[in-house]
Amino acid sequence: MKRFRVWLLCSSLCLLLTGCWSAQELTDITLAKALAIDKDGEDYKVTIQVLNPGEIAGDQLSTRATISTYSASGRSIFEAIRKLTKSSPRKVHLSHLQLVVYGEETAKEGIGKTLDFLIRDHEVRTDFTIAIAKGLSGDALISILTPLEKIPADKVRSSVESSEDFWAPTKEVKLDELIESISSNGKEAILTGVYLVGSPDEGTKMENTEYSDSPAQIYLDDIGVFRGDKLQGWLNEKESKGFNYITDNVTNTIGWVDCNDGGTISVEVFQSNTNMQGSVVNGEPSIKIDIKIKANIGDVECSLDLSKPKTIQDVQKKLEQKTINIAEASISAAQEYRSDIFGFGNAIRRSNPKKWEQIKDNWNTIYPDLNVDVQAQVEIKKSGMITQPIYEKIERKTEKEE
Amino acid sequence: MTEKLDGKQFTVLVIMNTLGASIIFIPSIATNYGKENGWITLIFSTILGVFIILLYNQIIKKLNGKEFFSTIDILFGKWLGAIIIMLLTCYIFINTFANLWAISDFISLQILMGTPFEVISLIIALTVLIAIRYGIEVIGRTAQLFFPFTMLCALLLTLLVIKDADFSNITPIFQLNKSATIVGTLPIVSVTFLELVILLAITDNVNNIQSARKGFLVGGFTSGLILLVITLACITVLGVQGTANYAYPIYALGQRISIFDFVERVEIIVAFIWFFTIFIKLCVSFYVFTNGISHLLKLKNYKTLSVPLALFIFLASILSVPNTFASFAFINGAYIVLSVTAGLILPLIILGVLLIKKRVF
Repeated sequence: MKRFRVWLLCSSLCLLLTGCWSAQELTDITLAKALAIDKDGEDYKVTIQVLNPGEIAGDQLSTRATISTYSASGRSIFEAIRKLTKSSPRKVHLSHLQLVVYGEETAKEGIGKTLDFLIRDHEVRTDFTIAIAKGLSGDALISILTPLEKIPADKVRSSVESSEDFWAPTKEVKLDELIESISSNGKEAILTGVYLVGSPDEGTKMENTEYSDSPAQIYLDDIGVFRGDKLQGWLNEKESKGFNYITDNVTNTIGWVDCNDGGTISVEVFQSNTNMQGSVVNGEPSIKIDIKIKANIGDVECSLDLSKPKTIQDVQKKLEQKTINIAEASISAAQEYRSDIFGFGNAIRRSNPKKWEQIKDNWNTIYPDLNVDVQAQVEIKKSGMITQPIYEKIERKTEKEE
Repeated sequence: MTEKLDGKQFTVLVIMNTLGASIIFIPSIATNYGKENGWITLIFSTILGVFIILLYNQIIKKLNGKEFFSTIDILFGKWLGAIIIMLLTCYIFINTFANLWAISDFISLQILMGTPFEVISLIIALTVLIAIRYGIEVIGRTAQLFFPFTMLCALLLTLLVIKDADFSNITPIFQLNKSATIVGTLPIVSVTFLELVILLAITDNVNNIQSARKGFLVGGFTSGLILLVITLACITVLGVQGTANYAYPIYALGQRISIFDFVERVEIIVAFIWFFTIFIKLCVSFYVFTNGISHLLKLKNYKTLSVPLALFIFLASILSVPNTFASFAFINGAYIVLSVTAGLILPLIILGVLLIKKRVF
């Protein structure tokens, strides 16, 4: 009995080893930060951007690149990723993925087949940002080295986040949202475009990060419009902004209107609420959009007497008209692509489910001629640190001298 | 029987038994049937569940503190009684190994990816074995001890994702898919409230019949409410398509938690909810299972057979389920029939006979 107890005690020590089951040491894996998916004939070409940990957090930094990229092709995404081990020295770990980039050509051919792996695999978390490399292949884009942020994937991701928050014409799209809009009726998908200024070859060298004004830089712009899983085209900056106004995705942005004397007045929008209401009138579906904006005066580059309530009202009117123009431009661009990126179909489904059941199969033909009524209300709240414009006094002085 | 549970412990056991296993599947099942009305399916299920519990409460009242299995023997006679008990224990057996499979599958899929399924399953089966050998009173107390943690995790999960909720996801409210919304209550009730029939066998351990009946109702209603809130959270945050796509939507919900980009990757709190609830559920079902078998074989002590039965359950869990897809087909098909038979038809017969044989009793 005593021997049995000793034996039991010894074997119970094995329980302490359970944490070592399938343990992976940090030195045996590489962390992929970005993943690019391109079409290579029938195959998919997958490129990963992996960290070079010694260059990011080491004691002595050399001039070696902070990241490396590896590519492999395979009939499916999963096969291609496993094939990466042929070129990458260690096993690739996808759990820290920050960014997934599709080449523009690939996006035009359709991205639907690539999504299953991304959501099914347990190693991939679904909180990465997805973007399209505009006018470029995905692998070229993620090979670019960036200054400031040592890891290019982080740079793109934080740019997307901050520009959505402060500038508005971009939108961060995560996997869940993309799949929801690609696979359900009544709303089409969009993805933010990322493009490169400068030569792609220059950008892959470490020298690129040594200039204050790097020869190759990554920019964010424009929203890519999908129909189904295929990229149809791009909304320009103004239309992209309109898209964000309509989908109530503006947290902070600026807008300007002309004064009467050729200068401009700019306002900072700090609150924007949009209400989208679908309705069916005489059997015809229509959409009513109501945008409510609160803004502060940010920059007056003309002579205006802001102390008069009438002036403020005029500026508000102009801003309202401009917002309506932006939104309408965006709608007509999307209607031209025959892609319901705003979710108008969903709005009609919500307000009149029975009618939607009848028209949902013909939605593609109804949508381009859909009647959309845009209303805007702008309220100007604060004047900034000063009340009257500086330029007015400057102008008066120059007039006197003349 | 010297072991006693109080009313509170019984309530906790009811909640744990309803939530165990189901909490992680239900948002997905409900959304697959009812689409944006998935949460309404849960309201129907809870109402139906309350009626089922009222039926069970009638049985508890008539049993009046007597042991469930021996009462069946008295009511139906030696042979018919044995057949009914055998049917019930078979149902409990399927239930137990299916739940063991479910928790092991979840852990090996989401948390310990490299560890073989068999190892996880064996360790859980052994833990359950140890637990039931301590008796139902210890299980009840353990449940009571873990209950606040479980509820805290569930509360945290819902509160932390509420900022991502988009309530347009649940509109139009109950306009489309009406019939599917109602049909969806069937599989949901069969994995939640109908399984509570197992608890009938431990009601004789509750020190006060009145508090057992009250606990049954309160526990059932509370867990229905929790399931409703979780499903609502899944649909509003993940979207209809998202909830239906995931095998474990509530885990995906946990992955969405992000506070100031700082508190992130805390989805394991979801796993806590599941570990606690399903462990207690496994303990109770296995306890009742061993009791049923011992009763059939006229053994004095249920512990005698507990070790071989635990191994039996472990083997069943690794051999009976070919793959995940088969398990979903089972939940949405054969299991409904099993649950309705064991959880509704058998209790109805038992209650009927109890009412007729009132004088004999």
